[in-house]
Amino acid sequence: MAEKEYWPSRTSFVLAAIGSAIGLGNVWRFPYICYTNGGGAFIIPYLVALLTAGIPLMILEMGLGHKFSASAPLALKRVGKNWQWLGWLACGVGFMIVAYYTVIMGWCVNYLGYSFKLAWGQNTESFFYDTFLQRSENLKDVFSFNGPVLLGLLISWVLILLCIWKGAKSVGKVVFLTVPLPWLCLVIFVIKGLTLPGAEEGIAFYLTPDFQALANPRVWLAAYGQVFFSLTVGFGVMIAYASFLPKRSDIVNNAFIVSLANNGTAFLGGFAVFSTLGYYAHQTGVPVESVVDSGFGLAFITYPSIINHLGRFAPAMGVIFFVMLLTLAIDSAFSLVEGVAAGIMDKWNARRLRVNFGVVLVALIIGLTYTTRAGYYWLDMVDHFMNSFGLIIVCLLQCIAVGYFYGTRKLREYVNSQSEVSIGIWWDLMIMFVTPAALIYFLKVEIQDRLAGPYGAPLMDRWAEVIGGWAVMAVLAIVAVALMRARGRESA
Amino acid sequence: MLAAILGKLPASAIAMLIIACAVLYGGLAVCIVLAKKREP
Repeated sequence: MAEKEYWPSRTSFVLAAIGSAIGLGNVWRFPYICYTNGGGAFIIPYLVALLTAGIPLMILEMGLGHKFSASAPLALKRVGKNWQWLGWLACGVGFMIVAYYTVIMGWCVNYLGYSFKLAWGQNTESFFYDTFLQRSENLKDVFSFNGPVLLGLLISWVLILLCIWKGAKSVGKVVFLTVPLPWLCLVIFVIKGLTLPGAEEGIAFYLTPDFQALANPRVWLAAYGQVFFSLTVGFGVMIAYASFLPKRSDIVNNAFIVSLANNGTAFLGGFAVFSTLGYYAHQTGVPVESVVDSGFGLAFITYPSIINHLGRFAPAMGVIFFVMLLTLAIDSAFSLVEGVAAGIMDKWNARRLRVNFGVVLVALIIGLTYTTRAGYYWLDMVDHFMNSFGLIIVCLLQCIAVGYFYGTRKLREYVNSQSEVSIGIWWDLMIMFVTPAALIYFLKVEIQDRLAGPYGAPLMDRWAEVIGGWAVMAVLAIVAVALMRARGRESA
Repeated sequence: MLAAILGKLPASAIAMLIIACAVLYGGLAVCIVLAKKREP
C-alpha cells in the first residue's frame, strides 16, 4: 500500500504552490494583456477578478484537497459520487497542457544554448520559424521530427522526473531553488531594464491608464481570463498539493499568499518586459506599440532581438532570460504531472515511481506531435482549447459541484476551522454567483468566436479545429468518465 | 533613474502603480507576517 505523502514544511507547500501558479504566462502574457486592455486602468479589473474569482477558487481547491486529503478525482468523488469524472477531467486538461508545455520548455533549453553565442542572429523571426522550428507551410507535416526540439523535450522530461522522483518530499526541496531563481532573474531584468535609455517610454506605455476601457466588457473578460489562466486552478494541482498538507494547516492565508505572489510576479514581469521594449524602441527608432508582442513572439523573436542590442551583456542576459523561462515553466510542469499522478495513486493505490514513469511516458508520446514541423500549429490549437474551454469548464463545474450540491457553507466552515483568518459569506457568494457568472460569460464569448470562424483561420480550417480542439475535448471527457467507472482500490 | 521614470508618468499612472503595489505586495507582506506569527 502506498504511503501517504506530506510536505516537509509549510514553506515547501507555499513555494510549490507559488511555483505551480507562476508560469510563462506571468512574463509573456500579462504585460501584453495589460497594455492592450487599458494599460494602468487594467489594474482595477485585474484586482477585482483576483479578489472575486481567483482567490475564492484557490480557497475552494485547497479546501477540497485538505478536507478530503485526496487528489482531484477522489476529492470530487467525496463531494458527490457522480462528480469523480470532473476530477479526472481536470487532471486530463492538465495532462494535455503538460504534454505541450514541456515542448516549450524544450525550446527554452535550446535557446539557452543559443544564448552563449547569440546564435539566432539578426533576423530572429526567420531563425525561430525557419531555422529552429523548421515550421511547415501547412498542418499535415506531422511525421518529420525536429531533432533539436525533440532533444529539448527529452531533457525537459528528465528534469521533471528528477524533480518529482519522491513526490512531495523531493518537490518540497526542489522548489527552494526553482521558485526563487526565476524571481532573481526577473529582478535582474527589471533593474537592468530600468537603467536602459528609453525605459521610461516603455513603462509609460505599460502603466498609462485609459479609464474609458473600463466600460468595455471585453476588458473585464480579459482580466478574469488572465486570472483564471495564471493561477493553475482547474487542473487538480492545488487539490493534490493541499492533500499533502498535514492537519491544522492554514488554508485561507496560504491561498492568499499564493494568489498575491502569482499576480505580484506578473505585475513585476511587466516592468521587465516594457522597460526593455522601451529600450529596443529607442535603439531602433521604432515606436513601442509596433514592437509589443506576447507569447512565443515575445520570448523567442522580440526578446532575442532586444538581447542583441545589449552589447557585452548580451550573452549573459540571454542566459538569464532563458534560465528564467525554464525555471518558471518547470514547477508548473511538474505540478501538472503531480496532479495526474496523485489521482492515479489515490485510485489504484499504485507505487509512485511506476505512476511517474507511466504518466511521463504517455505525455512524452503525445508531445512528440508538437516536435514535428507542423507541431507549432497543433500546439497553438490545443493550447487554445485547453485554456479557453477545458480550464473554464472545469472551474465552472467545480463551482457548481461545491456551490449547489455539496454546499459552500460546509466547506467554508471546514476551511475556517483550519485557518487563522476566517472567510465570510462573501466567499459563498463568489463561488455560487460571481465566479460562475464570469466563467459562463467567458465561455459564451469563446463559443461565439468559434462559431464565427475556426481558430487560427485562414491557415487552420474547421477540420483542424475539430481534430486539435473539439475531438481532444471529447476524448478527455470520455476518458474521464471511463476512469470514474473503472474499478479502483481507493484508500479509505 | 526611478525619479526620471516616475517623472514621465502621468499622475493617474502613478496612482494605479500605488494601488497595485499596495494590494499585491502590501497584501502579500501582511499574509506572510500572519503566517510567521502562527508558525514562527
